[in-house]
Amino acid sequence: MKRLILLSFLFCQYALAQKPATILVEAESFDNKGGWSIDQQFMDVMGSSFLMAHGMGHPVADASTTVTFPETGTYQVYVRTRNWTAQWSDKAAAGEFQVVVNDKPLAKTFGKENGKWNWSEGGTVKITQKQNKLSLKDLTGFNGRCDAILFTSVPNYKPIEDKEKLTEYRNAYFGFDKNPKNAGDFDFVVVGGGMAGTCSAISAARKGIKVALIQNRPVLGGNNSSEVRVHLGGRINLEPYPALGNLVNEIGPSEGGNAQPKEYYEDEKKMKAVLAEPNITLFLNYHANKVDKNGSRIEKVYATNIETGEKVYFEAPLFADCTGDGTIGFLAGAEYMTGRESRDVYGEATAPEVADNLTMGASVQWFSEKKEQPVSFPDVKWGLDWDEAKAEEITKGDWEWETGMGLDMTLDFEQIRDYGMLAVYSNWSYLKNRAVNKEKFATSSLTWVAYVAGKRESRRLKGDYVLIEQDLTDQRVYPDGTAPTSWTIDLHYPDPENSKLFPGAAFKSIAKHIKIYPYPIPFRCLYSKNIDNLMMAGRDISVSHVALGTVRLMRTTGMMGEVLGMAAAICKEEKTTPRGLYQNYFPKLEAMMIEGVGNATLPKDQDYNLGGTLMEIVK
Amino acid sequence: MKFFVSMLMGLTGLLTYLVNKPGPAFEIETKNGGSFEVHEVRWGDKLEKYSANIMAPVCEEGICYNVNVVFNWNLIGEFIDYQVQPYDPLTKLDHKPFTLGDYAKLQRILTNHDLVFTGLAADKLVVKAEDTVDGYSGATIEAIKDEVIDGALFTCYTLWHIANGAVVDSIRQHTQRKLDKPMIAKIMGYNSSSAPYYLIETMSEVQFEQNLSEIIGLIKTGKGYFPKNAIEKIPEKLFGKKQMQDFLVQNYDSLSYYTQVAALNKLQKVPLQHDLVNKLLTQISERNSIQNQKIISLIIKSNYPDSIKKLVAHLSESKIKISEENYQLLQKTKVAGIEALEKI
Repeated sequence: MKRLILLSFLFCQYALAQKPATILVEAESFDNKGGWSIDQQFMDVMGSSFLMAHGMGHPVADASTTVTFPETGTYQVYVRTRNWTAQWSDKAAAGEFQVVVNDKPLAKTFGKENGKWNWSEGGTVKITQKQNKLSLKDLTGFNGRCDAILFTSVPNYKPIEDKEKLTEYRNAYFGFDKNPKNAGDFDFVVVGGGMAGTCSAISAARKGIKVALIQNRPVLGGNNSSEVRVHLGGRINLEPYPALGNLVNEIGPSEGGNAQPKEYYEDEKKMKAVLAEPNITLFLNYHANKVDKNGSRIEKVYATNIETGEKVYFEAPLFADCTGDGTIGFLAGAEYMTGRESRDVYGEATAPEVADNLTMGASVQWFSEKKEQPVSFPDVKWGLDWDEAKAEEITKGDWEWETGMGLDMTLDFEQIRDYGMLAVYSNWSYLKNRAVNKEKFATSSLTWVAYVAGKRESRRLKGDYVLIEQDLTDQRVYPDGTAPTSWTIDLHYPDPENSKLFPGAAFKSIAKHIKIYPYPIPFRCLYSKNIDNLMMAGRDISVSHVALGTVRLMRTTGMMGEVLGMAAAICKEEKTTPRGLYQNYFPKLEAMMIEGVGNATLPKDQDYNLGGTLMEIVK
Repeated sequence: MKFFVSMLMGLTGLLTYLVNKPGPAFEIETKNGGSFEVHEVRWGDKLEKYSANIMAPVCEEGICYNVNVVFNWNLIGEFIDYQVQPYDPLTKLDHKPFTLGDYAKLQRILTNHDLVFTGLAADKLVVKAEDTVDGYSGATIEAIKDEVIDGALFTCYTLWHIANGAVVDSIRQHTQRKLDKPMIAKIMGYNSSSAPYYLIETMSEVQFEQNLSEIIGLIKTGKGYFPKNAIEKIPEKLFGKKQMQDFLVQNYDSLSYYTQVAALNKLQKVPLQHDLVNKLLTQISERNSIQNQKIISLIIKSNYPDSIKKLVAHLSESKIKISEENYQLLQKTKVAGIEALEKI
């Protein structure tokens, strides 16, 4: 009995000292990110953006923030993280880090357990003041990742693992869902700030309508930004609309080359062009992830800030899906296609006999630089098995470092990107530490590896027409032609040599080309079949897998954007839908395409990576 | 004495030949400061092709020698082939002579406009010391290895740029100055997609008129945007000719949409035959397009009352919209039923 009284007394003492509390800290919202990067690429799948230590083998500088605790006392710590190499290696983890509270690291090292996103128990920490410094200390420089840190004094607390429920919890905790802000009053909302979206927004703005441009990265340009570093490709200023492409010429980098230094991609040129348009409101770092519909129309698109988690919504009569993934169409229930259609579907000679999911992959490009002195690189244990036969004795990885063929380009994308990085690190580690010719690489330093992977193919939203191979090869030109595509039908396949060395898991690709005459993409491929107020520009337009091989080039997607902006202006003026424009007002769009929307007087500097096109005289 | 006379005659003949020998058509300066003369090659009095003896210094990894070849081009400046001097074969690195395979490959290279290495600056063709893992420079970069002849990179590069450089424009200009009907016929016979483009870009109005049948033939068989570009280049007044309008009546359906629109643009200011107007009447589609409005405008301006009546009836029946401009044009014709038409 005495013991019971004593226990009760102790419990009351405890209870008086600390009211149970739970504090959730989002890593991406840290005040100081240090050398950590915000990665939002998979937030639709794993629930959030997160911080990642992309140090390419060198631990990055600490990220830190101040956390206010309601009560002092002892807290159990949980860290949402994962061991990203666990799916390929049971040896040590690549990305390890510590959580540091008030300059004292917790005993546990994170990033070593759980192949999937999961709350890792971090032991307890004694909090003696309300304001506390919380830091993330990277230990490896190999992409350790932290989504959130949770402190709780609630006895027997179990953090929520289910993604949907966790999202609800976060929203409730931070109050994000209670009052999403209205982002403003717009005629046209463009989702995606790659070449297609950027050109759509500028074009529409110049035609006099109010535009919101939503981009889920801090820079514009998408695959052509300094984050991915793929140069523009294809031709502009072609028949039948030679003025299309003037805007691409205006904002496109003047120098070509994949996986080149950052300056090549002229991020600021695209940004300046957008900021110069008074009719555009730019929403950088916002990821669109929810749609409200009324019948077959989109009423609102919601977007989450990838850093603060704040939510805003956009109401407009017309939307453009320039996400590349067809995200807005998908969320709105638009019909879409993925993978490779069988030959029976469209009668295409290049299509496989049986449909499959062998999409083109995503590229993780990289390069190294020579230094004055020898530079070390960790001899990683968690890499892929490597040997002399597998070693690629090169100093730069271009587009052909391509992964994910046969996987789902949305659901599996973290794995796809990670495998790309794993291959780069495995090869480089071998060259630097174990290769017969390792001395050749002694002063080479791995300077840049993309962590935003350059995607080629994803969902393709179905329009009133689906462009197919025969349209391109037999030149079946339709009267509603718009932006001309000119690159070859350029389809990628796993590299047979690389496949022999890495069965079922090639990370290099080959390309097969079929040349075409410049071909104007029908307007009916640029709007959704079943969502009345949704247009598309970019790789998610209405084309077969085979036809995607040509239209996916960024000068072409930029020209699609030019057309979308014009169409949006006509839709507003005539109070009609994109289909209504096609049926009733197409002459207006033809007139605008003849006139163009870009500055025609600028020097034409888009003369690199034009691709093989059948005979075309440039005027 | 006989011998002396023969000698004198021979010398006179040689002198006459030398005095009358055609000089070079023009001279081309190369980027490295050299130059070569381009000669017309005539069969009888017909200009057949162009030819030049090329002597160019080429260095492979510091070892230099003079390339000595004869180049031939067709009338529009496309490289045809080359001949090597029997005493002066082409060589590769370390003076190894070209093999038969190398000569064949050089021919393929010189006629190919789809090569990566030709678009690169000369200093980008070989690996630089700072880009290599072992500091070794001078090797051909990986991306172009298959395109060039091993050990003869700069021979390929130099010769390609001579064969396809400034000489091309000079030949085209020279041909344009001399262009006559037999030359036009010859160029039309080339198996080259740029030959018909050359003709429509360079022919005079008179030459278009003299060769209209042949040009129409090219339009019928032309690929890509050639038919549209040709229609745009044919002088407007020729669209008033029966031959041109007959062609359109017979072939309008098989022209691409954009070629049709180009033709409609050219017809706006010339009088139209009745059968062409009636043909155009059948081309008005229920879908709105610029083509529709251009056809409607042509029919109204043609002033054939029966055609205009048919037009109004058709527009009204099929509920096809018309532009404000066409509506105003129609009002002037005072044809019944205009009020019922819808405007865009």
